[in-house]
Amino acid sequence: MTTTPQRQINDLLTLTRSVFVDLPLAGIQWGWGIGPEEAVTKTAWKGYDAGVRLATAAIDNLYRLPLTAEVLTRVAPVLLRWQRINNAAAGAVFTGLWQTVGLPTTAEARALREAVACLAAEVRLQRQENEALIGLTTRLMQALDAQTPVTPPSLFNGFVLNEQVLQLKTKPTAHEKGN
Amino acid sequence: MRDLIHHLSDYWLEGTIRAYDGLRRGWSEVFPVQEDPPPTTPFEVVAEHGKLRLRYYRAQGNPQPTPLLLVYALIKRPFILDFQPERSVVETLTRQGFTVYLTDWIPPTSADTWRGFDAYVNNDLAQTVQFICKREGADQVSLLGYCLGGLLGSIYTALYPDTVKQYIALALPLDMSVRDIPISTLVDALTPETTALITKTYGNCPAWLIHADFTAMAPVHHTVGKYIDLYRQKAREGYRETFDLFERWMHSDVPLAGRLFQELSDDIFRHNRLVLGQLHVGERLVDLRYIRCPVLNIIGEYDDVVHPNSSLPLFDLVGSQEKQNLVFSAGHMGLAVSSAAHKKLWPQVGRWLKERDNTGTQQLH
Repeated sequence: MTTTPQRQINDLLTLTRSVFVDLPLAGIQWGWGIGPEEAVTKTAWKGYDAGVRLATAAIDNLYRLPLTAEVLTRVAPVLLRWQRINNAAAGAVFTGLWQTVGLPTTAEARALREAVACLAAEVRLQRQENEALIGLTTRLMQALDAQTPVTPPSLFNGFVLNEQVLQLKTKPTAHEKGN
Repeated sequence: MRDLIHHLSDYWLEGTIRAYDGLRRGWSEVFPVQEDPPPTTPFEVVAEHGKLRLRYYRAQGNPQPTPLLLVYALIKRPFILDFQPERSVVETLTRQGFTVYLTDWIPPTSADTWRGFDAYVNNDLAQTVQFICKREGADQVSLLGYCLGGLLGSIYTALYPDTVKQYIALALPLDMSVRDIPISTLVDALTPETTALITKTYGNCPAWLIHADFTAMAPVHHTVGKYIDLYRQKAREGYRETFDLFERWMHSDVPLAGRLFQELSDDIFRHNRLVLGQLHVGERLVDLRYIRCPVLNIIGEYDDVVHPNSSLPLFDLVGSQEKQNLVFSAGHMGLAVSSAAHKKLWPQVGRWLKERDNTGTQQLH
């Protein structure tokens, strides 16, 4: 968030005092054994935090300068134009090179990707249609079972009867058994 | 001091590797979405419309009658909304009984430079809402838009008000005349000539440019500060895991479709057309007064990505009888991932939704 000028001055004072006064003093005290190490650490972090706030505020103020926007407005188009020229030149050089070494170009890879995407969509659609058909068939079978629970469905009567006749025919008659 | 230097060198090395990985992904013609971290909350992909892949998260317990659609932003990957256990917006909402759908925007390729607001709102979002209503047997959805997703959500709700029962804006970047965030003063440097050159050079707005913009918002923090904070918090349980995952998200930038980038830069950022009621999407004028459903405008008090003053005007621009600003003590990302938000904010959001969903009456807190 935005820091006020007063806050920035306080941070500058804190940083200066930490670096040139508090930290050396705490260091000396720790070195002589008359002060704890924690005091040095605490002082260092205090200075660091003030320094970070100060650096952030400096960058924020830089962003707010009209000159910064002006420089960006002038420089960005130039850089982008150079980028376009480089892209075009590299494309012209490397397209021939890619074909020579047998590597696919971007356009070829994109075309392949689109073809795969179309196939995937087709498979997805067919899968959905299959699932719908299976669902319909299941419901139909359930409905038919519910209508005639004991006797086979009339649709299959002929088939069942034929099967029964077949089984009868395959059974040996008493005469064939020699009775 | 030796310990600090030793740890910092490790952190910077890991940060550099993450940066390179982010660059690699952003430069890929087809963004490798399969490299996203494993989800916290299980989901099912139930539909795909245009560049929107729809994730479905089942409600726990008895589901609320109206499904909730989370419209995520078009930059970075959406796992920030399903971050970690106890820090997941999706998890918190499903636990409160909401059937949640989340927009997993498919990053654009060079074939998608033509996509603008029209494609994303009138095609992708509109079809998705239709799909959800049909799937859930509902007439309307509740909509929650986060950041740029809130911009899309606001435009959608204004254009299709009959399909939205309740609307929540989370850290909505609305009023672009607010220049309280220092880097926003450089918006004027992004002239129409520059944005046109960007799309001519790159097709889509490249991911590295979006990442550079985010880094430039707080360069001291992103280059030094966060590593020092990691060192200072190394004894704190879980901090390292959260930091790594958060950094993974920070480096998950995706390209922004060329036309959308131009419309955002010119119509939204430079000319503030949405607030002024001059924005056309497709052939329709977007008038926020057509938003007449209950609106909850959630704002992060310490948001340094979208300044609170940019979000506040939604209250005055919508035509809703029932509307509320809710300012919560968190930053832009903290609204979604901080433990305080999941203890206090999201239960409140759930209650707000339920009161209007179950009774249909309008109550203000």
